[in-house]
Amino acid sequence: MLGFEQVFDYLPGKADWLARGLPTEGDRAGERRVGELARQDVATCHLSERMGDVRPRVEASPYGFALVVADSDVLLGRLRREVLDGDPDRRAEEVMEPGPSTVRMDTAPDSLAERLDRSNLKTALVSTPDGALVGVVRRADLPGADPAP
Amino acid sequence: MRYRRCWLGDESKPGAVRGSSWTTALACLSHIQKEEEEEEEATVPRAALYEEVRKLVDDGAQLVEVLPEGEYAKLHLPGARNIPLKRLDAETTADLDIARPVVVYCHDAL
Repeated sequence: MLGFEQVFDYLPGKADWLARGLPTEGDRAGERRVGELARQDVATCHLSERMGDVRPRVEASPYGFALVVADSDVLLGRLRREVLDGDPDRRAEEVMEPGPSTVRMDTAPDSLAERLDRSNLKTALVSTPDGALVGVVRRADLPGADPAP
Repeated sequence: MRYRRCWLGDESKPGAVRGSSWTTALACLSHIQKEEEEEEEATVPRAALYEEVRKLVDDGAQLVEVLPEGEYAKLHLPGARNIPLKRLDAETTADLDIARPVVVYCHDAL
């Protein structure tokens, strides 16, 4: 009887596949995940950009912050309103808040809603297991949000 | 050199692999016996990350989820078949094509 000669161990496993928002099969395959709710309308910039150049992009976006990304879209940091309104010559690498918290694409919307409510947050950042920015999920887009006025 | 399947769990069978760990189970699938030398050798499956797995699958590799049936039923990778770790043996892997690579996965690296 012959044996297997090429066997590979997908080390990061199913969790990695799901976190990338890739297609799945199974009873829960059709359930909505936050990856589908992520918006790409957040202002981004690179490490070397000046606050004076980033600020107009933030003002044109629905959010009060910008995200700092590398060439590969890997999320590096966040620029809050205080630094955006500060010295316009400061560069992102000098004033960013490094390594902001993110969630994965396969996070359940109701679970994320609870987490945001507990921390009194209005948005969550979504990234891939490799750290690439996927987008921003707004609390208003998640279950249990207050109806729009 | 001839190759043959090994058996996990039943040590009375030829080519039996002792132990029941995840690594041992994977080694079971790639177990090689050098019959002429009467010497057994188990090769450790090669670890693969997403990019490589994607290419393997695109090229026709077979996916095997070794989690329990309930976990598999909820969500699994497209086209994956379920062979729970405790049932991984020559009989349950008989449907796999030995000429094509096999990618085995659990829930995560832990």
